[in-house]
Amino acid sequence: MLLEINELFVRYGKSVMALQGASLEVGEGELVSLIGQNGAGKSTLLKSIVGIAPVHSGSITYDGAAVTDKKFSVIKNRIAYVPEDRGVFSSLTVGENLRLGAVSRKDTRNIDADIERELARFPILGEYWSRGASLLSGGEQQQLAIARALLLRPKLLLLDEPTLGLAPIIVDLIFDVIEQLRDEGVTILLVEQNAVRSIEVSNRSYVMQAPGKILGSGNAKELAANEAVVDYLGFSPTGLLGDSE
Amino acid sequence: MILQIIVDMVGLGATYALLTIGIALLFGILGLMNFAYGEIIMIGAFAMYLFKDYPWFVGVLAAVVFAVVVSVLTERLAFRPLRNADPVTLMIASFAVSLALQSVMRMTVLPRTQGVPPQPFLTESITVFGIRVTVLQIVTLVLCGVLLGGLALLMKKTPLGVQLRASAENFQVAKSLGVKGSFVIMSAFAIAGVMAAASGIILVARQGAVSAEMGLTPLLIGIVGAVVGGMSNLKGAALGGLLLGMGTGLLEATLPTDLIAFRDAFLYSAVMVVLVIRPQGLLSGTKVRTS
Amino acid sequence: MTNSTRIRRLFETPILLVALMGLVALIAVFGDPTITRVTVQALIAVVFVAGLSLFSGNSGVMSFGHVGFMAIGAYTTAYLTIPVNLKSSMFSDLPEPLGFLATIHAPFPIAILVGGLAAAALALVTAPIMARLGGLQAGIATLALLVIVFTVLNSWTDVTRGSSSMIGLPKSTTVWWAAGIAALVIVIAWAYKKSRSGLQLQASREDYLAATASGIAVGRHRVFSWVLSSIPVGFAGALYAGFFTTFNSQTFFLSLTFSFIVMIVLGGYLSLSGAVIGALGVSVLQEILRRFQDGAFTGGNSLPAGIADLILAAVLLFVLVKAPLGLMGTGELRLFRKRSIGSAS
Repeated sequence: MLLEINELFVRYGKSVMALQGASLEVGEGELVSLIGQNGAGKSTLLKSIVGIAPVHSGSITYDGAAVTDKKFSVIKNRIAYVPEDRGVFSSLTVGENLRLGAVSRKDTRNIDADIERELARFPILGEYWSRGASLLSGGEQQQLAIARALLLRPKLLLLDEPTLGLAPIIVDLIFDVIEQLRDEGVTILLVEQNAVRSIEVSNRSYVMQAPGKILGSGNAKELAANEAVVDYLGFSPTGLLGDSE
Repeated sequence: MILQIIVDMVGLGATYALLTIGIALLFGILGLMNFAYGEIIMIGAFAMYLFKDYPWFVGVLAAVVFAVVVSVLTERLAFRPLRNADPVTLMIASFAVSLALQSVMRMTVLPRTQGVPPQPFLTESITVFGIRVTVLQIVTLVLCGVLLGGLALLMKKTPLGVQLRASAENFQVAKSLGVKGSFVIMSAFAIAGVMAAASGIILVARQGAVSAEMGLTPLLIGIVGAVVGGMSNLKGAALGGLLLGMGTGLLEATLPTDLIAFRDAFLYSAVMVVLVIRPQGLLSGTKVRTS
Repeated sequence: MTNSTRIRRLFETPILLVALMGLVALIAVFGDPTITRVTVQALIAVVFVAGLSLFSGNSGVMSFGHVGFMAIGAYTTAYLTIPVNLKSSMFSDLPEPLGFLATIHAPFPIAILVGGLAAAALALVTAPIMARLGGLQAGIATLALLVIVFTVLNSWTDVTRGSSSMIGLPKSTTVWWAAGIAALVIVIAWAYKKSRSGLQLQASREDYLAATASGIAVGRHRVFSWVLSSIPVGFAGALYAGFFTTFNSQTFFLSLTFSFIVMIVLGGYLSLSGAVIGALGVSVLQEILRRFQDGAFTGGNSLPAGIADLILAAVLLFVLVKAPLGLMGTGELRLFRKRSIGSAS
């Protein structure tokens, strides 16, 4: 297992326990989804992996190493995180934003090639290359954020609600890209509210309920067999066998 | 006559813009309202005093070196341990650093105000289109122009500049991408040091004296300009400083003499009003959380 | 928790602190003149810092401007207590509407009261600003207030004598005045801290968004504590004026502000006991440092001027790094911690 999370408790401030004993694991090369309603704690889980949310108890292990250890470097371990608000720098141009994704890399020769590859994947970025990132629409900013994350050549990609608030056509584009990445061998942990599409593309999915409790997990068939999950989701994933079976 | 006033206004505006950027730079990246910035200026000015018998550019060089060294030192010794503290704690700490620097200077090399006779070439003047312009004013404009231009170039064209701008906008995300936080911060302090040195050089030439307490007034000017112009937006801050300087110059030329002394009271009332209405500054586009 | 425990909890701290004031007063009365001076100074500092903590401690907003209120209290006392015949020569150029300043006179207790109220008037004027700001913006606004007050006091020389010293004040501040007002301010500050407004304000300190979301009118409470806190600070100004009998516009500016900040940070700005202890402790420390600078411990050789300030600044930095919540943290002074079996504690 590349990423293992065990009985994670995260507490904000003195009173709010945002995650209460969440456990999940992601194998190398897998595309795993974490779905659930607003406020369930999904974002908090991602944040605790990259060290933004305070871990109260429990463990997060990546490639055998404890993530909470002070020496653990998210960058050196090639974990790329695309936050919910995308983290695009509006005072920078699209090109500057993109290049920042590679700021930690030493192999300068390959960076340009990687940038070309991302521009091919997201053509809109090339159009806006030297213009302010604030001019991009929400969907375009999302593409920029993902492209920037990919410039790290990540082993593990953490996506926090990438299709939130986006037009259906862009949602399609994003999920297409996610499937592409999965085929390219990138390990992905996808946090989403869009349960249907997520279960469709993932190897496995976890369903989370507030406050951070895992209701059930597995592929579409296994989830369909889980009554509590079907109840919570409001539908049965039986039809979603997709091509991840 | 009017042209003369305008020339003076622009000169003052450029000087103030320089002060304002020095303050806004550190605020933007670190959330640090650096009270000690005035003392860095003072140390730059002190270098001019120390080398007053040498050619001017020796003093200038020394000013830059002294100011940058002290600025970076304050970061390492006082502000780094407080890296994650809230902005008010940082402000109080900078208050302490300011006092410490003043005290050290007062204890050692600047127990009293020292005169710095102006370099002769600075007091010469030339007449252009009927307006008298001193070399000092020209030097001020050139210095400010070069520094502001140089900073703009640094920010736009160099990798460090991109990292600085990104850090100023969102330090956390920048770090999560791999930007080296410590290096960025140290660079910001160093750049602020250069700006402060320039301000010190100009101030010494204008005032003809250095003292341990001379940093207070330029500091307050920088704060006003930054608050009004835009705390974290460098362009807004520069513009704010420029407008403040020009406005001050205008007030000085037009206000009846007995009101001039209250100029600061007007300015700071404006600061309070701006803080309430538009806390991110009049010329800034970004939003800032006020509570 | 039993009722008696609850009552004990409520009154323990203020009683202890007031008793402390009494103790300090006794030291002042039975000590030599130097000790009297230092202790009265310390008591005046307590008045200021307790007043400041009423605002800063409860709201979490540090104010750099309260020394401005203190100045108002001091100047008010000057106008009210300087003998009238002296005033006519000191203030020969008063503008028309302010002519009354040269003729009014009042006994010291009235001066103290009016000083506090005058400070409150300024606080009221600036209140709408403080209602809306928090964090750094508020800090900067309070700094702006300090500069405004200083500029007016420094420049309006016809009325304030600017940087020339105010003289002729009678020495009205006795030990008992200082200690008495200190005790009073402690009670008021404690009462506010435990009041509904104070508690709601403290909630906003912990989590502004959560507090507003639960309907707490943070702005209103900030305003109330801001104005309320200016009154004791005005008292401190009056006491200062009546003790030192001289001051000028430069007195109430950054240097004094820094001293008080060291006191409240060292003691703990979230705790009233911290504020009091900080005020007492740093007052003594400052006196020691002054002696040290004058050569008391180095065989009569005075040290370069500024070393006292340097040490104070170093102390402040140390506290900020190692213990930002000061000596008392968020706790208050208690007699002892009792744990009895069977009662929740």
